[in-house]
Amino acid sequence: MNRKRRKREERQQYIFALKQLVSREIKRKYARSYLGIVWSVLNPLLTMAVMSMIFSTIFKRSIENFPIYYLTGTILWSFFSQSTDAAMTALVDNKNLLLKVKLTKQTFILSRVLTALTNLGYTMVAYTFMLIVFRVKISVTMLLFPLAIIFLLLFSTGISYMLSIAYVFFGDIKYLYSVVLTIWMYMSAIFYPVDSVTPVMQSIVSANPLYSYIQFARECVMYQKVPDGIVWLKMIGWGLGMFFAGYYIFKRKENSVMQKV
Amino acid sequence: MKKIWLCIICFILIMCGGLVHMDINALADTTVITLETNEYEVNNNEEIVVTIYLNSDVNIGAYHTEVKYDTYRLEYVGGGDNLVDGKVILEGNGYGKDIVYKLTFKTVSGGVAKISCVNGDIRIGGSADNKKQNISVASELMLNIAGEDTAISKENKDIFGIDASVPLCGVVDIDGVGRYYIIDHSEFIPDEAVWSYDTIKDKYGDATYTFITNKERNVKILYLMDSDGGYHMYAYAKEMQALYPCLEKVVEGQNSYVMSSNVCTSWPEDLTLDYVKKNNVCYVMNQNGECGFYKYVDDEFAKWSEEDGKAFLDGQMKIFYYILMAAVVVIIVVIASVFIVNYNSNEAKNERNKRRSKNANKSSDNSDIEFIDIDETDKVKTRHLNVIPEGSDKVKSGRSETISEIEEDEKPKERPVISVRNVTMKFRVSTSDASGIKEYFIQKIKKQVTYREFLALDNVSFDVFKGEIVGIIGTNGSGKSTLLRIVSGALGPTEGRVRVNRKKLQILTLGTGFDMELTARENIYLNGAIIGYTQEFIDENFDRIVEFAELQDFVDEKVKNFSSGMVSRLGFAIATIGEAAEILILDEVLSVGDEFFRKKSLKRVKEMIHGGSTVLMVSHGMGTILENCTKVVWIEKGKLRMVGEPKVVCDEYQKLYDEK
Repeated sequence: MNRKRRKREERQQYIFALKQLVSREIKRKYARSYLGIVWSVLNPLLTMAVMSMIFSTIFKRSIENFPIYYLTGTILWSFFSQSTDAAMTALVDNKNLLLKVKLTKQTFILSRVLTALTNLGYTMVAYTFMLIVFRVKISVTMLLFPLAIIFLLLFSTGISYMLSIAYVFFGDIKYLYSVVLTIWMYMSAIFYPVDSVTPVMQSIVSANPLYSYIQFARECVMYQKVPDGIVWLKMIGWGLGMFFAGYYIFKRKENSVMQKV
Repeated sequence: MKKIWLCIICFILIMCGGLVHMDINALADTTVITLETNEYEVNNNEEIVVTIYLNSDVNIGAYHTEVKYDTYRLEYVGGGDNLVDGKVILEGNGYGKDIVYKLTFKTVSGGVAKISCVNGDIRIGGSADNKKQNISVASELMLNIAGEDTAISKENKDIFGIDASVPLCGVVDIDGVGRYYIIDHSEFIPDEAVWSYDTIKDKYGDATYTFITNKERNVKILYLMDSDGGYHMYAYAKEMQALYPCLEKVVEGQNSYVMSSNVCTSWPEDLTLDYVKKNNVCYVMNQNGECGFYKYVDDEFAKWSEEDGKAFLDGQMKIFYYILMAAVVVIIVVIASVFIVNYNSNEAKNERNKRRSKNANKSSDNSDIEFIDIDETDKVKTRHLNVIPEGSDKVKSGRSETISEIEEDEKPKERPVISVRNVTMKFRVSTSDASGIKEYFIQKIKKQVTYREFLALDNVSFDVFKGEIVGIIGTNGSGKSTLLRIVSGALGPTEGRVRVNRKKLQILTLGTGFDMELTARENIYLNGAIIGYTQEFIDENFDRIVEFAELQDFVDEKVKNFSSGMVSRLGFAIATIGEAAEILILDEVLSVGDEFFRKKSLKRVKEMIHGGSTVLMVSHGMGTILENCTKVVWIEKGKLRMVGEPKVVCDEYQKLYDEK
């Protein structure tokens, strides 16, 4: 009984420490701005308005409700790119703490990923608002949306683990990764319909793990249908697979990181 | 410069040569095959003659071509060299550059009969290597045979499996209806087509079909036949590569044909998919072949006009403008309110500061007394001790007395609290310092990357028993910090092991995790959380921390504005607020700060020490070590040099220095 209670206390303390780290990241991000958190809501709205004004005329024949189509894709993409980009430097940024503190190293990476998740939470406010404005039909399938977020979270965490280890050894990967992210974004069909590109590109897009999350989200929110089994499979497979792969690599390389950092 | 020009000129010449070469090749050695006949409109049951010309620009050697003809409507009589598989074979050895054949056919049915040339293999005459010629087929024949087309049923049955009397040219499976047959509009157009039409050829899928179109050519129609012989009108949407059914409805008083909007290849500027879906916009063609977009709302057809489209788009654009406006308004409001609030609070702050400064002098004296209150649990031991005054000798004797007292009270512990056994730490250090991938590879290629093993700790073993205060000394780079890290568990040793109950371990370091952009309050929570305090604990002791650090007026001030002394005080207060852990590791904690702070921190650390903790400390100050430690471990360049009484070990250490 005592051990159980102690374990629970430890877990509570861990969560408390994690929360503190996350709030530090968020405060730091908006340290010098007055609007602070409000930007998390405004930013996606503004980009969506601009992108819609530009692209909805180009795709007027093939995409119904471009603003929501775009917004769904972009909030999921932003979460992924922000979390992995920030988490990449987590170990190196906190190198003082790594050696002196009892916290496990995963905590630092997790704190950055959770920061991005908190940001996603704020953008959901904007998203819900837009759903109302564009009169998207409310349906039961919308309840499936959080699943996409959960598995995307697992996927991002796995990749973050791998990147943070790599960054300790090779600083160049930061620049490499920003290029990779750009290409990746264009292959995720965020602002264009999949049918409008060549078959080769179409197969690349459908193999893209990010696209499976975006597709899942779009289908259950915009088209009110339960996505096909294949999309489920891709979503869950990539999420779990990447998470365990990342975790495994992280565990193996943990000690060598301590020497290098 | 000259070299570059030469290269450019060569390049251009080569390109030109290549182009010319390609063209010439295409023209050489080509045979053109032409089919001709005198009459294209013939009667049934007649004999007709078809002439086939093979014209080449070089001598024709061995040749072999096949002529395909409509076996249902024509009968081959003669004129060729062979008849195989319903194809007339023309073969042999040519002489000269031209060959002529006259083939005779007999018409056996009405309808349209096609004669064409397929599969040719023509060699160059008189050439040693028997090279192939290129073949170009100039024409094919379509004969219109008058009379009833009796062959069509058989033809359709053979090719499509259905007994139909209209010429068919393909099949298509339509969802929900079944298999339909595409009528060949180059030969037959059903009477249902009462509107003004024209024909046009276009590609659908892999094959080319003849479509019926209107005068403006903006819609392509196909009539499909079902298995019972009924006709269905379908419109072709090229982008979607699909056929959409046409419904006959009355629109604006006229009989018209209604079809999906996708049928029109180019939508007007202002028509969007959103609008189409919302208002059920469809494409309508009337009897004159005129087309337009119509909305279908409330069972009524209403013509779509550009104003509708514009209005809808404007509506959409308006939403975006509203969003932008709202965003701008929010930004302005927030910034304005922030300024107002700041202005007000600054005034209030100035008032508060004036009042505070009067009381400021009193607060510093209270903190010392407060701290002694904390150790209320372990009372027996602390009361034996004085609050330690200056002067090393007194301290030492005081210390050893109380230790022996404590040891007599408790059972002697045989098991050490910290057990370091044969610990070796090897670092694999590369002799190069590649900071990036590029340098790493360059050096690897140059074979400059080698590794040497750096022995940070070499077979170090010692024990620390409960209640001991062990100091670790050694010259810089001897491995003291490494040893601390291994004991604390942050680093794993290469060899050997350390036995210690990590749960009872606490490391005291200063300023870990302080974030300059946060306020002191926020940093207390952050730092506390990182060290391992729970939220409740920090809530309870928050005021104590602030008072010890003497930062009551600066709690909500950003740490970046603090002086270094204030930062150290805060860090120390947070780190030492807790009850001392059973095992303490002090990493250069006592060598920080100004005179006053050092006194304070030393006092506090001693309180923690006298609480009965086991302490492992690293310090450069000989005085500190001599004052407080019961045992000293001397690590020199990774090796354990000496362990023992502080005075003894320190004297030896001094001797080493003096020698140097």
